[in-house]
Amino acid sequence: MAQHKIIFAGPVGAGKTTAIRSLSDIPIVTTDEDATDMTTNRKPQTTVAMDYGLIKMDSGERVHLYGTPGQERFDFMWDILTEGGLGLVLMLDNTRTNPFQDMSFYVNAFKDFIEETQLVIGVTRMDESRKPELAEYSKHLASLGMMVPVFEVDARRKRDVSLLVQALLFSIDPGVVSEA
Amino acid sequence: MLNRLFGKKTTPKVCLMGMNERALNVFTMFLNDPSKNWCEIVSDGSHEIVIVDLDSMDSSRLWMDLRRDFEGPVIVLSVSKRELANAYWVEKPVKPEQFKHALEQAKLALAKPSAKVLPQQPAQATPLSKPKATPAIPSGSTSGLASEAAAPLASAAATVMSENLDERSQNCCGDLADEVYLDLSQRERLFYDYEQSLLSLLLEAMRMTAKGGMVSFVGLAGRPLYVSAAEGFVSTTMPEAFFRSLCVRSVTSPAITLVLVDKTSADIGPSADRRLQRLDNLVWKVALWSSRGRVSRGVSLDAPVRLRAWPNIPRLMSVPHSLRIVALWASQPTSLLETAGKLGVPHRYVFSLYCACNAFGLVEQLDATALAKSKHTVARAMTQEKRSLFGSLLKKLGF
Repeated sequence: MAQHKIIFAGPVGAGKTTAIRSLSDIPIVTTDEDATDMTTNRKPQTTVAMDYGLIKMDSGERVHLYGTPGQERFDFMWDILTEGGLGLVLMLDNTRTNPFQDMSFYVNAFKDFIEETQLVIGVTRMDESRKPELAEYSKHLASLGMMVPVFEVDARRKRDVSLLVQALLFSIDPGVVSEA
Repeated sequence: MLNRLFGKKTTPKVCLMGMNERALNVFTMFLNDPSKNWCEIVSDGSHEIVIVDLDSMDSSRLWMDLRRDFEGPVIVLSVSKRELANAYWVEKPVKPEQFKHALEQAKLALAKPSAKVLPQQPAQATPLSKPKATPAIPSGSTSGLASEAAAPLASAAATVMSENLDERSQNCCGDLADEVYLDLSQRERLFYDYEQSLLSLLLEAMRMTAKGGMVSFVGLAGRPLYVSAAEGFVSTTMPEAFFRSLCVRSVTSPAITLVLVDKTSADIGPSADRRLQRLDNLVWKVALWSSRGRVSRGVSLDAPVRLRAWPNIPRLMSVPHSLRIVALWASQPTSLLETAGKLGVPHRYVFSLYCACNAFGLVEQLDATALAKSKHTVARAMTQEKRSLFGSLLKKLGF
């Protein structure tokens, strides 16, 4: 049986672990450790290797959900994680000082993977900070030559994360239909 | 027994789904008869019982969507008999006594401990249903995080849930049949007069307040509507259903005007109906309700439509097939008529979605020459294996 995976990336505290938990059919496996560097002011624990969740389908197929570590110093993991992935879900935290910088960083870091597959962006914590607005994200993406789905999401809500993944699939193939 | 069950103290809250506008009005009138006092119609997600018409086009999907979010008793209206878990069938045409009996059973079920209903409870397909390519509104469940944010989160989720169920059922994209779109002699029916629509006034109000200030709509059935684009603020005392009905009428007779007022959002307070509290969603809804499956005069039905940016779909009223339609416009600019054909979706969804996206400037129409010159991403060729995987995954995700 073929194995498939979707990658969740983004800075510390953007909601990657929570998003995977929202979709996973199994209790997620996470490798959180006490943060010891600048991430401590955003969350007391952070993912150091990866998060792992799983979607089990009626057909017996499985889609693995991998979350990359949020700290840049773990970026040696990213190539390993993305190999054979269906696409990238980039989670961005709207309360961070410069979310566009985060976006550019991750888009660039996963450039090859995105070119081969597809990118969707979920912006979290917009209820705490309305600015920047989604339109500004889209403008910034346009300046990078990209036009991809950018949604306001609450990573705790399955519906929101599900819509992100659906948008990812439809962006790859608008003609695909749900199994009857 | 009946008196006790249908007495004032046990009046359950119900919501209506799956009905076209006419049926909805008739049924609302029937249930609102004060002499009955059988139940209270609500649209804020607080319903205990759902009354659903399962003879509509997308009834299979509607049922699955409903059961994904609501486990309580359901009264099913249908021409043919339905045997569904925790549901009570009433034959159409509906007879008051039969309906009353079903409502009594539903109320009794409410008193019992709730039985868990499987989300994928199969619906008995109607001859008109199209189960294969129907999109879905995924469940609005929250994760099990026990955080301080749990209360507002639950409240927001309830709003979204009722939004999805209600709007879907109320046919937000009108009821024009596909034949009308393909019949040249009926083409006039596919257009509406934008200048006469509430949407035109609302967008004007947005322009007036883009940098600050507050606009009040005067002449809107005697009910206030305040808008401030700079603050992302909207407020009205109108319930959503009432507001929606205003989108059908012309804004010039009697005239509705915009007046700048010296008030702030703090002075006014939020809308009474939670569904009318987000300005972006209000604009989206007004565009859909003004459109009702049509486009404004001047819009080409044959020019390719290109997506400039994606709408914020998780926070906007659901339109069936919206993800597929905008994904197509993003990757392959396609005309309105062709979009429906290519994706096998009803034209009214395509036309309504175009109007809603256009209200935000998210789409543009290209001419054939520009299209030939433009760079656009063509969707990658998919293997059958991958397409099958995607289909399974979409089903799993509630699509």
